[in-house]
Amino acid sequence: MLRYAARRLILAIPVLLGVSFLVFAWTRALPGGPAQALLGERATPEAVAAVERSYGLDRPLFVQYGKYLERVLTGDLGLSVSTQRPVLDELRERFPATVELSLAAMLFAVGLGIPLGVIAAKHARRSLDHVSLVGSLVGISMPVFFLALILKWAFAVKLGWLPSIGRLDVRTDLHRRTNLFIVDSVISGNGTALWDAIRHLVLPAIALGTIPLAIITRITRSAVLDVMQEDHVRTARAKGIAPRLIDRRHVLRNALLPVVTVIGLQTGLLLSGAILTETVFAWGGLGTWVYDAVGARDYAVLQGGILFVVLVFVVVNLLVDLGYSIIDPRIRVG
Amino acid sequence: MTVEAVVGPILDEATSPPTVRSRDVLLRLRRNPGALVGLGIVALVVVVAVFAPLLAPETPSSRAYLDRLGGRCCPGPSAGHWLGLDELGRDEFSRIVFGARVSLLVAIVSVALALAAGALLGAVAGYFGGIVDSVVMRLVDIMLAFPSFLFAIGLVALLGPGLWQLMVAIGVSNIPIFARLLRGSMLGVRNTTYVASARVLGLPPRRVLLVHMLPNAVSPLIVAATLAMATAIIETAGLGFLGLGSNDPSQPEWGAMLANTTRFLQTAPHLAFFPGAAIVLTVLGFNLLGDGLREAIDPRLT
Repeated sequence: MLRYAARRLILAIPVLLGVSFLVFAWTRALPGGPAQALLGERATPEAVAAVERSYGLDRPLFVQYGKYLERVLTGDLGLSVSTQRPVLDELRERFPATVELSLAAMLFAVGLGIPLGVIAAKHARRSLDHVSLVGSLVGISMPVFFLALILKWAFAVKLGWLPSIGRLDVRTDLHRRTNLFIVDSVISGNGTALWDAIRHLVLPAIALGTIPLAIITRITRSAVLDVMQEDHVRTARAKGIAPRLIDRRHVLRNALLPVVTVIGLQTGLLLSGAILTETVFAWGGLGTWVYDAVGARDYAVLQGGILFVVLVFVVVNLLVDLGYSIIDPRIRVG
Repeated sequence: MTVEAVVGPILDEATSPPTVRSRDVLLRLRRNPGALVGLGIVALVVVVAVFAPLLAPETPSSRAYLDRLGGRCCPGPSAGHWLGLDELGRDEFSRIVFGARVSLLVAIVSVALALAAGALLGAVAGYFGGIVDSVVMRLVDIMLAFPSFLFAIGLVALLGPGLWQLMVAIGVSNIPIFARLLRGSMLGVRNTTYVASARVLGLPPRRVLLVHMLPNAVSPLIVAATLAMATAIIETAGLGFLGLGSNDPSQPEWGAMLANTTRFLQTAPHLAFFPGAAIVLTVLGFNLLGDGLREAIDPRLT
């Protein structure tokens, strides 16, 4: 197990190096360049040259990359041009917001998707199964921002049940320690803030969670159907074990293997979807941050933000692989 | 005449495995109601896109009815304007119709690009194996480390706004899917007896690759390309929604149309509904068709 984990970790290093170089080269290739972005569009060529010299931008590219890597590894991601604050500080505020949203979306997708998939499998090829199949097809075909707009229109604009933007009402007071508002309000024992944070979270989480919900439902359905036809289940049935016990011990346990992988694979989808969902609901997470940075040509934020998102993505994928090899020891050999 | 020129075609015939017969695939496709619905939707969208100038009563950028708005946004569906008017007095129906052109064009070109580049990379990696395979696949791994939509956003930021830029961005971000897929099937085919015999008989590598290996590795690509069309349409709309698409008013794009209407959600929700419905319908069509094709090509899956 340890050897497998070590091997996977070592394999991730060249990928991360490649990614960091790609992001580095990308910001250098952006129109205008970093010096121009720092000084604004009306900067004189002399001023641009001076800034380039002082930042070492006139040195060879690989020297710059080395310096850049050195800074990144010490946690220095530079200053945001638009807010003049360290990128790392903004990251500390923004990242928990996206984590909170993604976890809530995943909770919605898994909590509803697995039971729905099991029900669909139990009613295979009957009307309930068809309904769930059509539902998940539409769910997969629905762009996340369109669903977000529909939810916002129905439950915030028309019915007025839930707030339409933000993470917390401006009047709600909350001591922010982790920037995960739900955790913060629980730590400080603030019931009003907890309720407010949950109310703000519902619509974005449903919007972001619907595509994963559709995928998890379908995967669970086919996995349960597959396992139900296997020999060991037939044996269990022949031995006269209670059907409910067979479902739990023999079917679900094995069917969950592919489901766990698929859940892990949704991370990229969640991170992509978060950009669009956060834009619709003005959710102050990584998505709106990167989006605003593209508009404002805030290169430090783009460089740091994208690098961080990719790092999270790589680490989550690694954890999924490791988790999977714990559940299914055969993977380690392959 | 070389020996190879004489013997080659005979050997190709003799050493090829039973391939997936296209007649069987069509037959199975015809028995699948979902696939037929998908095909119908895709055909409808293609017809609308091709004949857009004939179907749309107005040009998409015409603000002919601006005075009809009277400061309010925006009149809903009526006999004169089936889907109502937008905030600039443009006929919504005409814009949806022309929007089909933009979405389809971007999706087709970007998927073709991703398919061509990805298949080439995958084929080379799968055929040669060893160090070539390692290098190509590490590059693919690096690309896969980015969530694909984020990758596309980065490329658009680099290339600037516009349709071509959109196509390149979405195309490049989808290369890894096809590269991995084709490499996988090439590796599977590489160790079969018929490829081994073709090699042993001394056929040149290019012939083994193009005649014996590629045709047998290609059917998963067709399925993946159809499903990638669905993703490409969603990604196009997503980039448009973020304001990263074309800003030419004569090229209305469904995602951008949706983004413009968020301000009028209270008074004119229909403006958000129609472009959104157009996206869902088109994507659903490609998803249904793709699933149907997969089941038709490999019936064991059902």
